[in-house]
Amino acid sequence: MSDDLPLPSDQLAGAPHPRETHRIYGHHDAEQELLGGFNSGRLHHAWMITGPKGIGKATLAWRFARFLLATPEPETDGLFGAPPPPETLDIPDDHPVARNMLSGATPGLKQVIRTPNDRGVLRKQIAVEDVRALVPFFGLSAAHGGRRIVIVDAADDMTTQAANALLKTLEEPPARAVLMLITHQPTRLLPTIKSRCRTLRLSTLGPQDMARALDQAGVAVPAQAAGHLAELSGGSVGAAMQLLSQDGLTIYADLLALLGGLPRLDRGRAAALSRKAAGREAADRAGLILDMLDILLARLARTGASATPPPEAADGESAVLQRLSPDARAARHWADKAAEVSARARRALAANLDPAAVVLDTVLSIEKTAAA
Amino acid sequence: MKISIERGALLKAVSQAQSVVERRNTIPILANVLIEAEGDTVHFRATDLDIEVQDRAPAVVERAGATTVAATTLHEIVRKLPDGALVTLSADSAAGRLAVEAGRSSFSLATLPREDFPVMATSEYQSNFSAPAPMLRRLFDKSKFAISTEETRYYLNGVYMHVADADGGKVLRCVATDGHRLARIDADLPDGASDMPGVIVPRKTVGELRKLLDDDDMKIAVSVSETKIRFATPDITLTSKVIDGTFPDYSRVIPQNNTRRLEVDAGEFAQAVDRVATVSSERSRAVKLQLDEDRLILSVNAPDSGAAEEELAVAYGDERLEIGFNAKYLLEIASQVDRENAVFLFNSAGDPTLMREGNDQSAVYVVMPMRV
Repeated sequence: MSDDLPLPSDQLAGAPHPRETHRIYGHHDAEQELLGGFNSGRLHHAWMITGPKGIGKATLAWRFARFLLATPEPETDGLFGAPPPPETLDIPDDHPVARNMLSGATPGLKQVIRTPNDRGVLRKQIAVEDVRALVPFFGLSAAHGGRRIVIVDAADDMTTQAANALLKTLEEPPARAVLMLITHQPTRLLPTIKSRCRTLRLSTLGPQDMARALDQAGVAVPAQAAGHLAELSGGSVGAAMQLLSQDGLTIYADLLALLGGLPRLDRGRAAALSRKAAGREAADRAGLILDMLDILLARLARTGASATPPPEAADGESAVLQRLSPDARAARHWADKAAEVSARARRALAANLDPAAVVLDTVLSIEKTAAA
Repeated sequence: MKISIERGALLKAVSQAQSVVERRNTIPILANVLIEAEGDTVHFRATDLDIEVQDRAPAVVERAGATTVAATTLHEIVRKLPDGALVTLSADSAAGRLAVEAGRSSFSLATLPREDFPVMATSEYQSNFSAPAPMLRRLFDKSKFAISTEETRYYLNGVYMHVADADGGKVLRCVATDGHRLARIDADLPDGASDMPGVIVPRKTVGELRKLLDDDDMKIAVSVSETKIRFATPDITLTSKVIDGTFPDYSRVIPQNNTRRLEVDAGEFAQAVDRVATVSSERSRAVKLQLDEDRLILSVNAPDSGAAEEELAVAYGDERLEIGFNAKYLLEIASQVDRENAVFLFNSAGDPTLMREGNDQSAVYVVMPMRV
């Protein structure tokens, strides 16, 4: 039934929704910090979960929300004293709260995500109305044992007005409310927001955790692609799933082949690549191509700077990297280009230019650099 | 699950339950009604996460069980079936379908598992009492027009039901206000209600509750806690969250020393206000009242559209007074008067005016004047 609907803005393409993922890998310390807060009886009301995209920040937020809603407040005045404090955030899959969460109907939990505008188009930012929807939520009494939880995914998407509207709640939260702000780039948040939140920094996943997380999501990684995938995803499960579902490895290989021909660019190949980004449904694809290009340029710079290429992310990559970026001077050149290309292309996409044209333009501008 | 039930009983139960289901709803399970069959009754339960309605109806239960199915679809089907038909509902959990059969018609509806349905947590109620339906009907009918629709002051988006001290001892009191007008309705305190915590009953709940109160002989079981309120008839149980906020100290704004007394037939007054307000500007809807010895002149002077004037014979013995009001507010409070004359008590053109029915102190209305 949901096949026809666009993905909600808090779900990555090719990945299950964070609320559907019960286990989390590689964030043991962060979990213990949350659990410690809960067991101390003085849980901070606002948490800012930071880290790169796709490493499990939202999964952790949903997991903690599930735990909070399903765990009754410890009774300290009982006949037998307090029960032993919980040691994990695990909640059985068949717990009513877990079931309700899966079906999306959780009293006591409210998400703040990007919503469609009047014309049904998903907004690029979290608007002030989305945050103001919290007023009726906090205006009514709580459902589950008094807890009310808000997940803001992602806080980076909030407009300044939306952030200011959230500030009031962050400053004077209702009793037993917990707000979790997910942010990929905490530096871009208002200082007033940051100063009211406790930061929980998540790091990228190691190869083992990554493999387990992908396995849980039911993503089969072809054996020959595993190494390449690990290189390109940079320790982010979400990125890995996106690469797999949108054929990112092939795109990367295409880009590499294209740049492999430098200083002469194969125009036919460049046009074929840009066609992949054409059309309305390929808007995500354009973003992915530019991401891959960013990664490729960064790897070029790295190769030149360290004089040794990183482990291959596509067949025959090392040779191309070493040829195009033989020394530190070339490395600096590529690093400058990477910054410039990335900023320019994102601006163009944000201005709703034709993605195919943006991709072609970007590739052509790299040809000029290579020629210089 | 397999049950047989008479169409009329089914329609009554389903229509009550489906009315709480939000029409614009993005969460599939919340569009569903939970059907639970056991013994010789079947329960229908629907929720919007803030209000839950549970209906019971007698049925022949061949196989006990439970399932959920789209509430509006089921309601439409049952509504269109011929009166007196015997309806059979049988759930096939393996196929995820509910078969609805009556005479020669048969339908097959998609179901969702019962475990996904969010059942409102039962809480302990501090106060349980029984109140006759006409009493509750009066309390809420006469106060609900004044409920605010402004979301920023969310604590005014409901009727404040509490125990209060009046001249003749303790009363059960309902107050609603939007900052421009206020309604304060008292009723005899039912047995067992004296320790009831004051709660703000949300507007939607007031609307849903009204459907339970049509039967004059019905006794309604009311249960109240700090966070929930429940109204129950033998067949229907309505449980709702309450507004989590502090209702303002309304007694401060009820004028005590208004001495200028106007007595007028409420029906005639309302009709006259309605007539002259026809020419008032859409935005202000201001009506001017000129009071003189036993004479009331209602007038509207709108520079854009024209002017109107109407004279009424009234009982007024004080000095001349000119005062302006919003026509809509006057109409609404005048329509609450049904037995005796309306009595207005004024102070000056800038002070709040009090209105009641004859000398009845159990229903008091306050309305702010407008500058005209």
